[in-house]
Amino acid sequence: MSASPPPTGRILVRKLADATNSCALPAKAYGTCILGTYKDVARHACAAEFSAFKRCVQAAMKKKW
Amino acid sequence: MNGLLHSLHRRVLPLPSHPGRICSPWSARCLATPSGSINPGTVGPFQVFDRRAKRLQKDRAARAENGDQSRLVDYVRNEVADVMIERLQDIKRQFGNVLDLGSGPGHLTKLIDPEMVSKVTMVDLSHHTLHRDPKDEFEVQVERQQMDEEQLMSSILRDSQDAVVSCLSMHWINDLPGMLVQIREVLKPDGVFLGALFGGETLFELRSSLQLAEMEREGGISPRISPMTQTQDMSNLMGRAGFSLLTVDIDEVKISYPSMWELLEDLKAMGESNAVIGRRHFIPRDTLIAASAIYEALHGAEDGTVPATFQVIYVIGWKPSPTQPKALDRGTGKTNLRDIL
Repeated sequence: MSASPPPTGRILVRKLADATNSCALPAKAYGTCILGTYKDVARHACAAEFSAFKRCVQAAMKKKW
Repeated sequence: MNGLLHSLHRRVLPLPSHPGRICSPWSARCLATPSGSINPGTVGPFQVFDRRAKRLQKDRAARAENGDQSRLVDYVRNEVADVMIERLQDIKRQFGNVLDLGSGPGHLTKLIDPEMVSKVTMVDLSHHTLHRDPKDEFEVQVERQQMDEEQLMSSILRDSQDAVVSCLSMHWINDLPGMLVQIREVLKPDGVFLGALFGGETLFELRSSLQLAEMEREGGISPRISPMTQTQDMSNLMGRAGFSLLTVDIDEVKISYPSMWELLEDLKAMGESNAVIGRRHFIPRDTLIAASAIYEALHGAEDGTVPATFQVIYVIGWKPSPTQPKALDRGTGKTNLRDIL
């Protein structure tokens, strides 16, 4: 039985999970914004909230994309 | 630069790229073209799922950490197998041959009592899933056969099985009506088919969160969660395939996860990653984190967990036989129901 390959995808998901966990407040702000418009969501309808959330996640991951 | 990338992305996303498109992405309006089939140049049933990808995903999932990772996520199938075995035991009969269609590692077969069933043939698309667990975990005599369930009749003989059972695998079958016909064909007359499959409400939380995230971040949606059968279709399909004495009912298994990420990991470990033909093989990180925030806001429970719903459709159908009890003709009733009720 061959050993499983290194689960790179899982490591990334774990990192993202931890980072989003530590950004609960901006995540909530973004979620609330979407909830307000979810029947008719347009592209970048919550861009401001998202960029705050994303900045927080990137800071927590120490990684930019 | 970033802005340019984004605007390019938006233009490409809602249009499935297909070679017949006669317009440049920069012109204001495209000419009408015949809508591109997602399986051009083929005949036969419409292909929705990539069976090859599904086999690879299941193989990979069952092999990870020598199967331990896959064993950790057996909870949904074990739950449903428990319900199914009760229904099988309700049928007071001795079964010679039973076919477990899409058995996986044998969630249901492990529960089958050898006093009731002589032999079970387990059939699954993925070799590694099928052979994940050793023989001593089964009480009943089993034979495992790796094959594509869609070509069931290529190796299972007509009129050879006393019962066919299937526990949560038929949601990956492309031609469900054809599959049911094949099941009826391999059954002996008066044989029973007992199945459980995921219904259309399955994972609706994840589906809606991903759609909203893709809408808001990228301006379009793509197939992330498979289309699944609706309950009302299932009774029609069973009737159409020629089963009699139908029973169809639904149940929901609700699982709480700490967040969307654990759900994604578990789905992958179950071998249930996306295998829709024409899926996007990539999900931008922005969309993912947006979806996790939306999932929490839209569906999150007060204790901070998020629920995931698995809707399960249970079906029971019998292959017709002259010895079987039948419904009486219309108008032959002698008692007025009003007197009884």
